[in-house]
Amino acid sequence: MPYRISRLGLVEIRSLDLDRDLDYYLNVLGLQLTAREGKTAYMKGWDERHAYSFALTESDRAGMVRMAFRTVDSEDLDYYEKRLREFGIKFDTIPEDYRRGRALRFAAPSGHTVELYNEMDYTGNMLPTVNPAPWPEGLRGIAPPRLDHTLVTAPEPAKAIEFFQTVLEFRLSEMLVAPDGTPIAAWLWQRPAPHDLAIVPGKPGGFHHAAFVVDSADALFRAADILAMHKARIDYGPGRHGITRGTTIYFFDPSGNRLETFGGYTAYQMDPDCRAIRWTQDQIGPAVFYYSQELNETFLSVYT
Amino acid sequence: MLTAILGSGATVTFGCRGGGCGTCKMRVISGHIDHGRYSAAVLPEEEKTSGWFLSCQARALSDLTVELTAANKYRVLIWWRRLNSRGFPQR
Repeated sequence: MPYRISRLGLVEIRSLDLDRDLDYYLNVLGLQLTAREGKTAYMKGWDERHAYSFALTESDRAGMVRMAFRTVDSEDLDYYEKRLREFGIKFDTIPEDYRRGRALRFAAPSGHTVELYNEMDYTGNMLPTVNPAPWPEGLRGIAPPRLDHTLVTAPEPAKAIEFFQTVLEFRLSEMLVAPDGTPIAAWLWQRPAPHDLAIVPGKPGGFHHAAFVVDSADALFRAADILAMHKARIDYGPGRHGITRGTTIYFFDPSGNRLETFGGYTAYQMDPDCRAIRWTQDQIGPAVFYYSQELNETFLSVYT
Repeated sequence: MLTAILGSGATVTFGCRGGGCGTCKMRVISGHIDHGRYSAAVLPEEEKTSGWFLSCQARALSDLTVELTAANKYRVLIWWRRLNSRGFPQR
């Protein structure tokens, strides 16, 4: 089975105060601003080649607006359109969005708005394409190179997991299982990385976090220093997940949305042959927080 | 409000400290507050009118009596008690 989704292309979340939060995203997290259009700011990491991967929209609440996955080819979008029809999933065709082409928009059983698209303006990253340096000078804040994954909550995780596996053909890298074997939480992938999307139990449409790549131990501690210098609220870390082996800092934006630095240097790469790793419910502590070996009070209860 | 509670040597349940998650919700019994900026998804208008607020965002405008949610717990930290009664934390 070829993989047809190249990446988690966009996460859009809500902000209670766009001016305040944009300052945080640009100067503390250190994303690059593509444009601010009315109540929405479009941003990305410095190494991302399309116009944007993260959008922040002012609202009376926090939480997720939508997640969007970019297909490998435009034919893959047609493929999924056919597939949504076959499975009887209602969807809307969005002819275009800001600097983006046609998208299919539908509601996942988890209560989230999900989009599939292929075309977005190719703007290049912050480096030249001829004889580039390894990284651009003049970055601010943590300055992650790119968006990595998102984790969301679902009232019936097994149903949501099955939807992403069956209809959208995500593969399972790891899962947390109840004693009877049913999945309580799952880590799902399309590009060869531990996950593009993860699902844990919680309210419908809940946003647990969006993660940005911070891929060396030096960069991880530097990120924690920057968060503390700016008095950002760190929820957990620096630490390591048992699941995915990724290094982590969980922290909150000023509207209370959780973000993560996720370490690609310890997280493994996937191969189409890889079989899912299972974590038993009694080992949820080390599965989530490998070093403390216990869940903290916020992991399964605090999200937007 | 939350900062004042934590600064007094007590602890209560809280989460994001950004007005987004609703974990630190409390209810005014008497007194006046400014609600600050908070997510309407976790503090709907009807809850607000019956006195609920998010302690991480609200500011006290007078002396207050507040009620906690059933899930919350007010605890005075032992080391703080010791610090205040003996001048130095004792084992």
